[in-house]
Amino acid sequence: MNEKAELRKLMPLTETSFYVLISLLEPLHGYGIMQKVEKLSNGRIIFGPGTLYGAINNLQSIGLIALYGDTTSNERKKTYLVTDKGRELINLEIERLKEMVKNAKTLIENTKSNI
Amino acid sequence: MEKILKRCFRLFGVWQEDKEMEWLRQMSLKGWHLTNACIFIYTFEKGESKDIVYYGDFKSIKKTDIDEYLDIFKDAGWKYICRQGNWFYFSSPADNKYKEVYSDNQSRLGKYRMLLLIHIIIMPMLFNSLRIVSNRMANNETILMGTLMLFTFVLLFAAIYSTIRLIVLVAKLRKSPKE
Repeated sequence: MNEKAELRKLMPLTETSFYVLISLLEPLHGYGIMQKVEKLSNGRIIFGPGTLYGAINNLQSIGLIALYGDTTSNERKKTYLVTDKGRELINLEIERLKEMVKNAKTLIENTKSNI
Repeated sequence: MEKILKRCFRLFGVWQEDKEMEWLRQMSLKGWHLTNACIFIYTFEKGESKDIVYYGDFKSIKKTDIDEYLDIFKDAGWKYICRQGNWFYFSSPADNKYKEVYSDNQSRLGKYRMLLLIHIIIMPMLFNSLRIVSNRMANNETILMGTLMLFTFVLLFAAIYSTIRLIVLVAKLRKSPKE
């Protein structure tokens, strides 16, 4: 329970952090994240390199993502993967976003029928 | 063929990012491409006219993380030009999809917050130097001391002005409801 309260302090995630986090449900390096998010959002979200680097750094420092795999391998580029804590946070965010969409939908439909 | 170089002295405040980058872009359009930027002195190399955009990023970064940082820029089509302390200069073709280095307000804010912090750290040091210099000058009025005093004064004034401009910029970015 305590852990959940701890995670809630990090919410709501920015759109950038959220997309970086969910794209790292599979191991990816920096540019891989950019491409995946672009694809997921149908080209709506294009991360600048400065934004992406900052987001990776930040998510790593709070333990939502971690370096993945063998760092001594030939692959020079660092790869990241979401941590258990990160997964937990994604679940909490899904609940929050569901609530937001539900409320917005209900309210906008109600007012439409009033006019 | 020998390289044709040109050096220009230009003062840009840290809050004048847009102005500085637009100037560099205009220089490239005239065929002068940035090869180095070092404390207000910009070096250009003559070449063909091209539409190139520039970005000076401020990053305090660990030595071991620099490769990754530069790699991300490279993958996004940004060429690393030079580094001056914590400033990293990059260039990219103007039609690059990733030409916004900071694509959201939050991360842009991060850059300016860091700059503001550095200003706040520097300020007491400058006040202190001014105090030391003026104490010395009381017993030793030479032209050298006078110049030093004036120089410290100018630096302090510039730092105060820069801090105010940064605070205004940060406040403006924070006000936006956009992320």
